[in-house]
Amino acid sequence: MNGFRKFITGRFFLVTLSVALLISIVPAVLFAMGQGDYVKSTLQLIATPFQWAFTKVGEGVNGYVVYFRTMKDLREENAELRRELEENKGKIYDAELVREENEFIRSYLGIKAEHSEFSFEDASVIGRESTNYRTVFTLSKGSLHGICKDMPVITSDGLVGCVTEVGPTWCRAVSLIETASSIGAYDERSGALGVVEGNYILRYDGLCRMVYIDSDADMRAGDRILSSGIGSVYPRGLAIGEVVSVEPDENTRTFTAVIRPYADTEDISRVMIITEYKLYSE
Amino acid sequence: MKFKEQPRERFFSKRTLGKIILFGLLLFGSATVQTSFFPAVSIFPASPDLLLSAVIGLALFDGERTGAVCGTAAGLLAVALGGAGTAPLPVFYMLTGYFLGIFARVNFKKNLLSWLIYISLGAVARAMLSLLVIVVTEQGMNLFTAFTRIILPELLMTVAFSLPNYFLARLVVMPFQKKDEV
Repeated sequence: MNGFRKFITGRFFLVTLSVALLISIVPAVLFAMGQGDYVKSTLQLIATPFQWAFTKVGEGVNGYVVYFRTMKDLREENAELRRELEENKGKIYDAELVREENEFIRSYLGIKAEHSEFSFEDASVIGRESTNYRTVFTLSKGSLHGICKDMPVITSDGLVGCVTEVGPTWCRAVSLIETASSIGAYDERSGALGVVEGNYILRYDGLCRMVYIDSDADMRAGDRILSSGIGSVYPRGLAIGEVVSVEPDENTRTFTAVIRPYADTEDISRVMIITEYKLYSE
Repeated sequence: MKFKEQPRERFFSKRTLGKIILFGLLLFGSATVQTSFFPAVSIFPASPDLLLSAVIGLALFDGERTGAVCGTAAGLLAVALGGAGTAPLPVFYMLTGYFLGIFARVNFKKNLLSWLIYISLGAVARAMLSLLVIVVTEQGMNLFTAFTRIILPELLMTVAFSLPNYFLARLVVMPFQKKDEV
């Protein structure tokens, strides 16, 4: 270890260490005294052009790096935006569903207020008849929900038809424009009575007709037709449709009116089934 | 273990002048690149200590006297070109160059493996110094943050970018070794 001690006590080591210490301390002392460090300034002066050149090279390299990094960032941002777009599309779709439901509930509340004596069960259309004009619907409620045959089916626009077939969790409803349908009805303005029934030809245009109207009845195009409550299915006062035209029936000496139902059977997706009501006859 | 001092050289000789110029250029180049190129490239998490690798290279190939003198000069360059901060780098470089020069001459061969050992030791010592400076000057800084953001990147960058200086140091020392052989 004597040899090693000589290394750290030798003149060379001590002188070099002293110089290194001075270089470490002197600039700080000069700076504290507000004096310039000439050695440092000179070295910096010499180095400046080289530093400038290397900085430019570095910036050039950095330019490429930033370019590729920016591309990568842009790709990631693009993917993120696409993902957000998809999310927002989903949200818009959800909002649209909520809006529709809100609209449905509003109309539902309107009908509830208008017919406080009715009880309703709302249902969705889950299936349709596969013919050109769809007059038979499968609905999402059945006997487990208290649905029975012949219960009227309505929307906020007006009468749709009635339940003809019931399963535990589903039921089938037939539109009022179907040929088998028959509803006691009256003209709201004139009070003229008649029967609204489906017609084989008219149903392809989404229309039905009102028959057995007295020949002296004052019925005009545009009149509102409501259910009369006469019969065993429909309560009084449900809006059926409006009169399109009125023509005399040559065979029976009565008038026949073409009716455009308020409820568009092509578009409906949610309906209400009237589960409790009083018939006119009761 | 027996130590033997490196033979002294005459200061005013062509050989010494040649060393001053070549070694000085290597140190000056390292300091310039360290303080200008690396800070300008944003992908690098820290600037490597090229001066340290240059000092270790010169100490490895030319002995402890060269290591100490070049270490002192490297410290001066680090202070002058703004890379030193508040750390006592001239003393650190001088001691690193001196002691690694001794051990290189006594214990290890001058090959890439021993270079890697030296540069790793030097970088760890440099990291310790940086940590010490941080503890003293930046008392509010979280040590984990200091480690992950400053110490570790600096250490890894120093080791990663030290290889060019290994070859450059070997190159600048070569003419003087040939003269020794003659």
